[in-house]
Amino acid sequence: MKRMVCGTCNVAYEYAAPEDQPACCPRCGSPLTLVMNEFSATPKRYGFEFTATASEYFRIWIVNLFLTIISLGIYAAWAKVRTRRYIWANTSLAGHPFTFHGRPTAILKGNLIIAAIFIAYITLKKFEPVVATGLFLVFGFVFPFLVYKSLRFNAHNTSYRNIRFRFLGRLKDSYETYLLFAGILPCTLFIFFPAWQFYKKKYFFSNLAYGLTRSSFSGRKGPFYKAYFFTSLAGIAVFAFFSWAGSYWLEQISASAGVSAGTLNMFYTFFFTSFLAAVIFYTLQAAIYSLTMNHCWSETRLGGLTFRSTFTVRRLVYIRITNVLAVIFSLGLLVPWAKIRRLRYILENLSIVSAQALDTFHGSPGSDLSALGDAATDFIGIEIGL
Amino acid sequence: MIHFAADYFDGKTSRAYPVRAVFDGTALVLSDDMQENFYNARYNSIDIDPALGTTKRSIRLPNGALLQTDDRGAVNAIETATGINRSWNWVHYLETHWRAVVACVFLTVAALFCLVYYAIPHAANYAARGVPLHVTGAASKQTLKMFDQRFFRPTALGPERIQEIKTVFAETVSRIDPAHAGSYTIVFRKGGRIGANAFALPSGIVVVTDELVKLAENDDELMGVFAHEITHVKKRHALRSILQSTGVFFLVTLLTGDITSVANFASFLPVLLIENGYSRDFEREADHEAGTLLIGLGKGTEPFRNILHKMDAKHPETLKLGVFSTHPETIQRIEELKKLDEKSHKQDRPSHGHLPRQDLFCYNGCTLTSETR
Repeated sequence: MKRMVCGTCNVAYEYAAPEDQPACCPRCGSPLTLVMNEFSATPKRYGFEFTATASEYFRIWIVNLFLTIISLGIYAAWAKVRTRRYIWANTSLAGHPFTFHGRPTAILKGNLIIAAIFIAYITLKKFEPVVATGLFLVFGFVFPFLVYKSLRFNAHNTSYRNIRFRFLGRLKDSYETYLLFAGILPCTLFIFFPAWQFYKKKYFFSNLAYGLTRSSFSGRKGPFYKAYFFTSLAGIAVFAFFSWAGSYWLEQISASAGVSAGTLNMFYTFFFTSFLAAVIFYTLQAAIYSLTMNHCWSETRLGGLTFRSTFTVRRLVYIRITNVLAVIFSLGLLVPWAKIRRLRYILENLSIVSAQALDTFHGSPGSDLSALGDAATDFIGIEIGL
Repeated sequence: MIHFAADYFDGKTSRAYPVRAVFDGTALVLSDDMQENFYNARYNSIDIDPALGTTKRSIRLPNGALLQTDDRGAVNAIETATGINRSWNWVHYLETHWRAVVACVFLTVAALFCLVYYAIPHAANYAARGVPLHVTGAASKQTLKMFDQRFFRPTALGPERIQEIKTVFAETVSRIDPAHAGSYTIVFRKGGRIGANAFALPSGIVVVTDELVKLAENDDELMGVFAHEITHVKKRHALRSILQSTGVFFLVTLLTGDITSVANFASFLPVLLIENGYSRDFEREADHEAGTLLIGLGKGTEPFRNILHKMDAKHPETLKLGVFSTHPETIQRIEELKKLDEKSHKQDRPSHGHLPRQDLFCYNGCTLTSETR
């Protein structure tokens, strides 16, 4: 492994063989500096270790919740930093943990702005629907910027062995993915949907950097289309079967008990259908997650480093459904347990294979970022990252 | 002297250097096998990440390097000696003591209860009071237009009857909300599929269906209905309901902000229950006002009870939805009106004066009876 750094672009280039090394930067043409010349004999595999416990996280979670409520949401920023720090610090690779560096005041600023926008939107929607729609459209144009900021904030505030991650995606690409593609999606009757999901993942995975080392992503749309096609087929089949079984069962009951079918029918359609739809939706989400993320991780490289993920659809679906049930029946008290359980499965099934020693990465000087984007994406509930 | 072993990361490469650290009261001194005291930093130039669970402690040095150690006791001792992170100790204390955690569980539930039952309704009431009725004009017109297109037909009542009813309406307005008598109008529509019902739009428009007018045996019954609807407008129930929904939405976001997908479905039901609870409370308040007005006029709540009963008989509530309903059950409403009668007999105070403090709770008020049929 030979690593050359371009001082102008602040990006490192790795070359596996000594002879295919260019003299200058392929992007800007300035000369490269040699920073490492070391070739590892055999690639080594490192698994992620996750040491968080539900009991410890529960205590952090409930204290956060309490302080957030009595401070009317102000503490939410500090709560988020504590939660992230806890999760990051309990995720380790080769004996060293990740570290989260985000500052609460930066997150607080973002929270306040987002809360103001949302309250304005919800209140306006009832009184001046036209103005509210306008506000919504404006938000649609701001959203890609927030995604871009959020990805940068999260990456920049994560470090491993005191080397910060970076997100190098361009703002232009964010607008292409989150505004242009999202906008033309309905015109394609959502056939384009899996491809859109692919572009979102590509924007994330192809633009990461650990210090100077930039990621590359060779994922394809095919596996996304395959995952969405088969899971939605399965979902429709399951829904049809349960609807049929449900109405058959309903007829039996109403015939025997002499209750009017109309009365039961309302309960049936309202609760059974929405519950069933929700369960199927979460199941499909978990299935799609495992299929697409397996593909994404296996097609991502970070210098001499590749990823292996071994998520199985069956296991993730099982964890998702039992988690939802546990949260509902515990009236929310098992939320921390559910979160830790899912993260544990994900991290324990993720590993890296490295052809270079883990202590040979180089850092890059960084800058401070606002947390506005971070809060926005969290508020809307889109999940980015793991 | 505090001694501990740590990993030193210089921030330039990902190499971990095992070091020995010594804190002598004023400075942190680092040494490794190659060199004694290769770096030192005064205590006021270092940052320590506050303690969190049983995770490694991180010390940030002024040169951008990071020191990580498993020796939590040593770092605690440095914090005690220097006063770094003093303001964070109590959070860590809460998190590490089960008694404090249990207290937090109960206090959280109590705080939620207070917010939902007192703080949100009171804040919404306070905020709604300052908003003039005409702010809601555009939205109200749009709602009426939507109903006109979907359900209503023009009224078939004769002009004399309409004039009579308008007089009753004006009389009711002058008794319930004399200060803003000008902002109320009544409009007549043939209900069609909606049947016998009345609506109040937040800007002060009260819609009455022909079917309801025919159902009423006398004008006192109509007066009860109008009083109920005018109260929805006067007490800003629609606006308060919107503000309260915003509050509940905000609260749920705070509660579930951490966990994205699992909680969405689970939080749907509590939100529905809370908002319908607010709605039933608004209905009760409107019923109470209508009953009090009729008692004050010496008619008792009977006319209002009669019309509620007739409406219920005409469109029986097929389902006892209970907590899932936006309106209390009709039988319950009639019972409460009866109680109001009894109370007024006991006190023998025939005046329509101030309500007992009942304005805690609420409804997004439109219809006279529940729409879920």
